[in-house]
Amino acid sequence: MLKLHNLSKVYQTDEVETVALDNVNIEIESGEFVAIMGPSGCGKSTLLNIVGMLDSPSSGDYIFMDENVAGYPESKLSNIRKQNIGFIFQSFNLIDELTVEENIELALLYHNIPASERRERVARVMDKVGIAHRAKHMPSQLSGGQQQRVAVARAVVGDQAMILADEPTGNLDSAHGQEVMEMLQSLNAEGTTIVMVTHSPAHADYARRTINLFDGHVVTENLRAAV
Amino acid sequence: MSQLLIGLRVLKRQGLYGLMAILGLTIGLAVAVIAMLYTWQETHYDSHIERADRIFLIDAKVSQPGRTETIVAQVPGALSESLRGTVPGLEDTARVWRQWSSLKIGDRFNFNLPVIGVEAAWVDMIDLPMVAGSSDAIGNDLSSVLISASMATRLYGDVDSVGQTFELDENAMLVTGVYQDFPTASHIEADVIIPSKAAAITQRGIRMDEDWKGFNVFTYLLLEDGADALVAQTAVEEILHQNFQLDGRFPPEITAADIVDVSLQRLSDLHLNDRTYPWGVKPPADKLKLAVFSAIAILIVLIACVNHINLSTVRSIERAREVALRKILGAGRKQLVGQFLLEAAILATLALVLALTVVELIEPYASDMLQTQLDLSALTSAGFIGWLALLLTFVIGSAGLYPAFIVSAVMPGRVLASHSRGAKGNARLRSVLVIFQFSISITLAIGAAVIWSQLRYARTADLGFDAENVMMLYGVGRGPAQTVALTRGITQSIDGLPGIVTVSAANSTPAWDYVLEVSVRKPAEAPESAQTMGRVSVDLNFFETLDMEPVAGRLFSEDYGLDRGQWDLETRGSLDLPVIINERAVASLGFLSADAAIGEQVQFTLSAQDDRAARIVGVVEDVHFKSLKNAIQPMVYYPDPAIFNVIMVRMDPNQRSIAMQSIEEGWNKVMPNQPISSAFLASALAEQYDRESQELKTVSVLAGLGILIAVFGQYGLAAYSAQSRRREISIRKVLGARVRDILQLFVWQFSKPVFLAMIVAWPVAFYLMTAWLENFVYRVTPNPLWFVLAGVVALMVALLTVASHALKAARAAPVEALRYE
Repeated sequence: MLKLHNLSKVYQTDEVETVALDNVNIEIESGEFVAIMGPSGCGKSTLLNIVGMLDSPSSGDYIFMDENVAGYPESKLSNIRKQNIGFIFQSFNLIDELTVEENIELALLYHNIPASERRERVARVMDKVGIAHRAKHMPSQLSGGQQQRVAVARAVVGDQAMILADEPTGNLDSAHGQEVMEMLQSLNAEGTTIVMVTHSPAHADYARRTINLFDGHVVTENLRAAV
Repeated sequence: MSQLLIGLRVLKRQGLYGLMAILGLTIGLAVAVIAMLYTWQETHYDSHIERADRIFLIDAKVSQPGRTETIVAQVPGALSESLRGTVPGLEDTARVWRQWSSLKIGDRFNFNLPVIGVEAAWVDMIDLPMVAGSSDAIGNDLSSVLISASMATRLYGDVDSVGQTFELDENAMLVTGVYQDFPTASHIEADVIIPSKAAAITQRGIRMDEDWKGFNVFTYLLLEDGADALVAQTAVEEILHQNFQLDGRFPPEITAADIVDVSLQRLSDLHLNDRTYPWGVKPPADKLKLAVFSAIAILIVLIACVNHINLSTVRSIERAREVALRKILGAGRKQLVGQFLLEAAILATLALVLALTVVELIEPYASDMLQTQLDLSALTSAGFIGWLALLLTFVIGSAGLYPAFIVSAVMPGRVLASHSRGAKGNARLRSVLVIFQFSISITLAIGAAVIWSQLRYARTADLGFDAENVMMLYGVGRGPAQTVALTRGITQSIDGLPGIVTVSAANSTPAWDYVLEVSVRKPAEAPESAQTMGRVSVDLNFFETLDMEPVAGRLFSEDYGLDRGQWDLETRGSLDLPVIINERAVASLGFLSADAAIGEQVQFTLSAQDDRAARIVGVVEDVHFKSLKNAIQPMVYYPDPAIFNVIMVRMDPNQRSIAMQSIEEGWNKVMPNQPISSAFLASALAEQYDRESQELKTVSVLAGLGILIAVFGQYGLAAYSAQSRRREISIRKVLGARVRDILQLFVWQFSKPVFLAMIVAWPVAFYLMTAWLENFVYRVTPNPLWFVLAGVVALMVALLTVASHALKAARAAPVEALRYE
């Protein structure tokens, strides 16, 4: 699916140079479920942003589906991103002014899909994550777990091959957290590649592989037997 | 002090926002100050006269049967003296004569100068403020004259001109006093004041001061403190009714009480009384203009305040952290509110100072637009300063309190922990305000378009005659015999000179918007069924000069004894009066066709005594003898050389400069001592619509200012919106939205209020402009295109204003906003 080769990210301000990622080499196969762990400031989010093409590396290669996208301009990245990658955030990042349905539809809005098909797909994915009865509600009327389910629905409604989840359970209690993890697992079972940043070792256990980052380096990679 | 410093520093740091806040407020305040000056002036007429609440001008409403009712500010001259001792509560009376005189110093002429002749009591009554000499001599010395300070400067280059001499209508006069110019807010205006006894009291053989027949003399009363004005008015009216001489001008059953109503107009209220006099007293306050202009000014101040609120709210996003930190460090809410209010006060005061400077600079343009002379000295009067202080307080309060309380209410923990926006404010209220701003601007823009197009129509419409290349010469009206001699002398002297096509005289021109009236009926009909028509006395060549063709019959001509005979004042009474009527008169007299009217007799009735048999010799087409505000009326053209007062010359368009020399040459041969006073008919016609072209200027400027201030507001809102929608935009971008998609969002967000504003503005503008157009009988119909165009312009302006913020927001990298929310 993707391959990072000697990839570095350096943040430069007027006087300070911060190395967020230092010569990282990672390969992720299609259909994998990978957890990225590490203490605060180790570069997890930077890594996820680069993988999600929301940020560009300072040096090194990023091969995504046989294409080196490291030097691509924003518009080209945006195109690849919307075809292939879905996002789930810790803080859900739903738009407060739109209903559940509309929030999910947003992910199809920029894909030139006719309205009737959009509605159909949104309905299907809402059923799948069990949020259909809340279709007309506003995000503020939902619980945290429900909001995250909407976010998951939004991430997969476009049939994205890969989902990037940035601490998807960070704002949830353990019951809801588990619910979301199970959802991710079943998505993975259907073939979606999942890359997830998390602090929780328990949730990392849902993944088949865990990559530990520290100070911008990959420290260990643990491969687990399938659960 | 340190708070003041911080305030100034904050202002400086705000850069563009600070500048826009100050500029917007400055514009708003400048408009407000001008509106206040104007209102102040219009409501403080004659306030420089101490006893203005006890001084009354007597006016008379005259309703003659068969004539339009008129109100004049003059009464018969004999009234004044007969009031003394009979009117209860009367302290004093004084009379004023108005006349036009020519003033001569050496070989310098000042022709047609308005002069008033006054009784000494009047000078006392109105506290004429002297700057040099004294006004004492005005009561008894016939050759003594008072002049205004500006007149003194104009004539002698010095205010102190006491002892100087000049000739007034060929009488030697000695300047015995110089008075301060009448302020704009004065019902009367004069640069030269002479003793009443030196005034032209005897006119057409009548001693005006002893006359009980005509309404010729301005008469002022001073009542005692606490006297009842209504009681005095009844007494004055009774005396007038008893003494007024109808002199057989009306049927015997009509009495003075039937045709004259007297009323006393208190000087301090005179300007606001809605009484328009034909001349002599400045026209009353235009209350509609006052109301409309004040309303627009208030709206513009409100818009400016709204902008300030919006800009402050935007700023508060950035300042939420500062406030939070201050709170943690122990600042109370009171101190924070104080700080914000102080900042608002600094800004508002700065804007007011700038606005006052702007007002000083643009005063001439503002005066021009308001068709008045704005008196800036009001700015230093205590009352006005009070109003300014009130305005300042209002601005500080409205523009400062809201942000002060909203921002100071910020919870420090939340702000510091989350980077989130501090105050959100009321988005719906803000978009309502934007709709409101743009509706006003669009309405004004449509108004400007309608006025412009009506003006263009009025100035290019086919009036039915050819006004090009016609010059009018003024100042030829005298007593009857003199007028006949003078006008004949000048026309004959000019006629035939190089470049001259035709010369003729008349008693009015199409540019004066003024015709006299006459009652006309068929001889067999009863006097009650007579038609009121317009009448113009014209010379034999009149129609040729204006290039008007006969529809039937003939024009006036030297070839007919009947026409020529009208020039002999002694014998013309025995002749029929030859008249030419227009097509409307043909219809209203009930003739079947223009040809059928030719040769018919009609009665031409000016008064019960002056009732002549007239014969219709020709019919001309209907022309616009008055401005397009008036319907074309049935007209009678007839030759009465005794009342001519203007000469009209048609020039050869290819030899205009030669023609102008010829006119001067011809004139000087007859009137070497009177300088020529002239105007072109075409430009005088255009001047009929001066008022409308001033209105066009005012409305356009206000529309422009409205849009400008709205632009400042839009800019602030766009900045605010770009800030507060950062997270949403980032989400959309992560989900695949392109820059174009985000721009579309902004375009829609900022177009929607403008579209709504159009929906509000269109009916309002349609209603207002239809009402405005009703001033004109002949008018354009509002073109829907102007409505659309005004909306489109507002839309373009709105979108251009937000473009930079929208673009910046759309291009921003999505990560940061998401990471920190």
